[in-house]
Amino acid sequence: MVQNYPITSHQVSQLSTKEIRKGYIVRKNLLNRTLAKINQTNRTDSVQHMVFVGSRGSGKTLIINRIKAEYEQSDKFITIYLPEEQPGLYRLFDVWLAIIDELNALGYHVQRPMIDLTKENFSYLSKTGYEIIHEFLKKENKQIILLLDNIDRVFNNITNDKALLRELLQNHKDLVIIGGSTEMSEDFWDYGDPFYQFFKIIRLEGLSKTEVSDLLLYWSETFDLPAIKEVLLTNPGKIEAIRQMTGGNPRAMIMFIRLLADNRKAHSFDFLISIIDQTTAIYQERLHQLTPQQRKIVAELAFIWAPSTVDQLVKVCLMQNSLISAQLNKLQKAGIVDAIKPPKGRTVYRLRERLFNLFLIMTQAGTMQKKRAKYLTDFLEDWYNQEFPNQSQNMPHSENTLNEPFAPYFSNKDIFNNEIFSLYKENNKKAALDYLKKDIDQNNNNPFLNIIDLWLGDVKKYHQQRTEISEDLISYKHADIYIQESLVHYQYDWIKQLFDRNEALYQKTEPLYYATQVLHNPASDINTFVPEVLIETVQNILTYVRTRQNFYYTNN
Amino acid sequence: MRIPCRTIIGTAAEGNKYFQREKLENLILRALRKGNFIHFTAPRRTGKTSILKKLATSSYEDLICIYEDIESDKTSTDLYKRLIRLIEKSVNKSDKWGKKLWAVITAKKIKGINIYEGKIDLEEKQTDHKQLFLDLVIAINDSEVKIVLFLDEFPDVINNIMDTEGADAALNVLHTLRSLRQTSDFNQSFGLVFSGSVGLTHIVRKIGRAKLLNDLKVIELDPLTPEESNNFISFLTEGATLYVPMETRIYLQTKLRQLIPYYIQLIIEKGDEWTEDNHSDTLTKEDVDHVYNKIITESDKFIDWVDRIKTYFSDRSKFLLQLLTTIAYQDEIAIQEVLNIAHQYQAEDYEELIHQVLIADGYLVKNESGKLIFASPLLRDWWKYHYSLPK
Repeated sequence: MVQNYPITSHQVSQLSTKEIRKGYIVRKNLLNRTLAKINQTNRTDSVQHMVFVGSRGSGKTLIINRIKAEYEQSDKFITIYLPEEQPGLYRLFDVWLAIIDELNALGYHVQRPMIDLTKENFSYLSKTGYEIIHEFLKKENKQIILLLDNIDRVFNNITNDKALLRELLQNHKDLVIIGGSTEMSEDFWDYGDPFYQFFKIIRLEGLSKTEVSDLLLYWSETFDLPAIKEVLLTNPGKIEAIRQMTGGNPRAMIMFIRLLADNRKAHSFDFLISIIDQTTAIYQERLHQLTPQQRKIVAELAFIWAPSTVDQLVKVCLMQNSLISAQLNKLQKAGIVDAIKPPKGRTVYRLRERLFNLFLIMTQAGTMQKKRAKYLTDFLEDWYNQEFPNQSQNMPHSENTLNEPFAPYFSNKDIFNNEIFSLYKENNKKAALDYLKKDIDQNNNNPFLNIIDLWLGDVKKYHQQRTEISEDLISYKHADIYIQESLVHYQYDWIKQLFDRNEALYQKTEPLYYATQVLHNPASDINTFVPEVLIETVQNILTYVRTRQNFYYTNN
Repeated sequence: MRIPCRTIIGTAAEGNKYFQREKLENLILRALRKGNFIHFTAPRRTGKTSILKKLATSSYEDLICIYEDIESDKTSTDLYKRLIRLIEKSVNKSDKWGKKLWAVITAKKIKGINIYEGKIDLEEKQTDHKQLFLDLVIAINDSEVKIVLFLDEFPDVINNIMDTEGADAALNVLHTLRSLRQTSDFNQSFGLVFSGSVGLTHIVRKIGRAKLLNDLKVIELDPLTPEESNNFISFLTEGATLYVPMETRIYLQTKLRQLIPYYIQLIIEKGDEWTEDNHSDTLTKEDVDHVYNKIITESDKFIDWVDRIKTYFSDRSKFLLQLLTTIAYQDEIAIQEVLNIAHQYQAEDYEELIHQVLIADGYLVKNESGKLIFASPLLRDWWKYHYSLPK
């Protein structure tokens, strides 16, 4: 059953109304807002035209079809859906004729306009075709909700009649246009273009953690797949790692669910490989649309992963500064690259689509880069597994989950004694000191004990031992927790130094490296130097560190 | 179920979405009754079309008003045909005067048109549509009611005519319409309101005959006053789930300074969505900050302000854009510094450009100390976010 669930727009539009309504699980607020706007529409008041903008697989077709399902039995509206691939719609009157044909297919009787085949120019149909629709709707006292997938392609095709279309939409209230577009084409915001700013633009962002969780629960229950729910409850890190690595792209998440149903034990990184494998055709096509120079810049940007300046790109692309700038400009307009301009300093660039970046790393980059992706996925899975199930979904490590990072210690008695760990959790310094005095002085080189010393204020001892501990830190199973807790206890500069001289540590705990950078330099703008894929996790780490600092240093 | 605010983005506000601008509406009606032809001017998205549509849907004892966006007209013939159709539509719109007017028009027996059951049939062999239009205006000259056509995007049409038929044809249209309004016989029975987001003055200046517009009554669309803006927020949120406390309203007004309905709508609509997603019904000052910061990062929001300069002042765009970017970064600029930038770009007409373009089109205003600042802090902050000063 899962195998048959639709993931492409073509497949979505084949679903029944009931299936679409039932299967619409995420972005419910957005849907309700959109429906509320449409419901307010009538032939007297303003009409709100809208365009959903998002990457491939972001759910444009799904929401468009969900809107269609809402109004199929409406007395006020007739829904007309012109699906994704419409090569025949290249003049405005093609759109009108398609609407007339659809109306007839729906059982209305609408005469096509008289077509004089002896004439060389058929542009008169742009007006007469519309007049027929206008008169029909006036008579029926209805409006058409015109649903256009890939609205940008249709508009680009009808260049000559855009002024007329805008005029007709301004003068009449026959159509409510709801479109989907992969990217906002440049035409949309060209002031000379009469179509300029006619639409409310709604960007479809990646799914949030809660939305992914809702989606998984729905799938688990609807398709009777208890394994999915089990993973959600016992291994949330796996799900969160995939969500973060793919940018919460709904199509990628559906692919993931399918894979999960087949093999829930697989490692996150293996899931990612399979997902990327399924997206190859789409992204290969995108790559082929670029010029060789653009391909080079895009690939290098992907490999760097972090936002990069033109100068950085010059070094890796070995191309002239001016050439790279010009190409970046084009790539920006094409919606492939984003430019971020810090208040001070130079503009930095990064790829807009996280999944595309990952595709390039997994398929085009060298071994080192692929390893980096693997380490990162491992880190994310581990880090987000620290959360206990059924707790705050939105903010890992919020107040009620403060103790979770130490969950591994409960099951690893070899690392540390439960009792001292409990005291650390409770911030009970006095009892901890008493305990330490009588019991565990012998295990001095344990990294976690080193943290306990720091927490207790025995900075001298901590300082004496940390260098020795750091030398072998990478082999320590919980190096990440050592770093994280050192940050909690303000050792930003020391940890920064550790990262600077230990490449392997940096590779395996990259999000912690960036969190350290931010803590070390609080004035820095996270968006300008942290790889986009890491921003959410870095912010979560920072929240964790600050919350814990508050716990240890403010309340007591 | 959450009830959304009454905001509308992109298209004109009509019916229950229209916020009454009584003073301005009365100003336009008064000018029309006096016999003025009007040039209704303001930058895009400030609410011109909404006001014109409202005026055209209302009924009056002495006026029949028709609104139409006419931007697709490419030639002078398109335009005259359109004007004829609009007169036909106006006559049919009035239950009170319709029959009488048709009787008057029919009695004049205009050569080249046939009138049948409230329809003007243009004879195919007839090619002089300008004359037909003028004859029609003459025909309604004796009527007791005045027909007023609100021609939206009129400057675009003049631009189109210039492109397709040349500057002379565009001049001819402007002359014809000017002669019409200068004939006192007509201005009590026929009126025109020219409106558009592209400045008519800029287009006509391109032909080099700015004087052709001198006799138009210019009505500008001012931003809302703080009191109006407060009423506007109440109007937008009436019956909606979102509550905007007074302190947030005052904060919003201070932040926006230039109280253009579109800006206020953007903040309220995005604030409505943001608070809904965060399970709140009240818009706080922090929410306003968040939404404001989000808006300035979105490239599509104000790019028209840049494109307009590039499109209509291409030969001066480098100077104008550089000047605006400099002001965005330093908040204000003294005229001496403007002169310095103008010198770099050899923009000798800098004073004219500042007054006729940047101030007239709503980019800049002068502050109390006479320095130039952005009229809208929102536009300033958007500009600063998207453009860098040259190295």
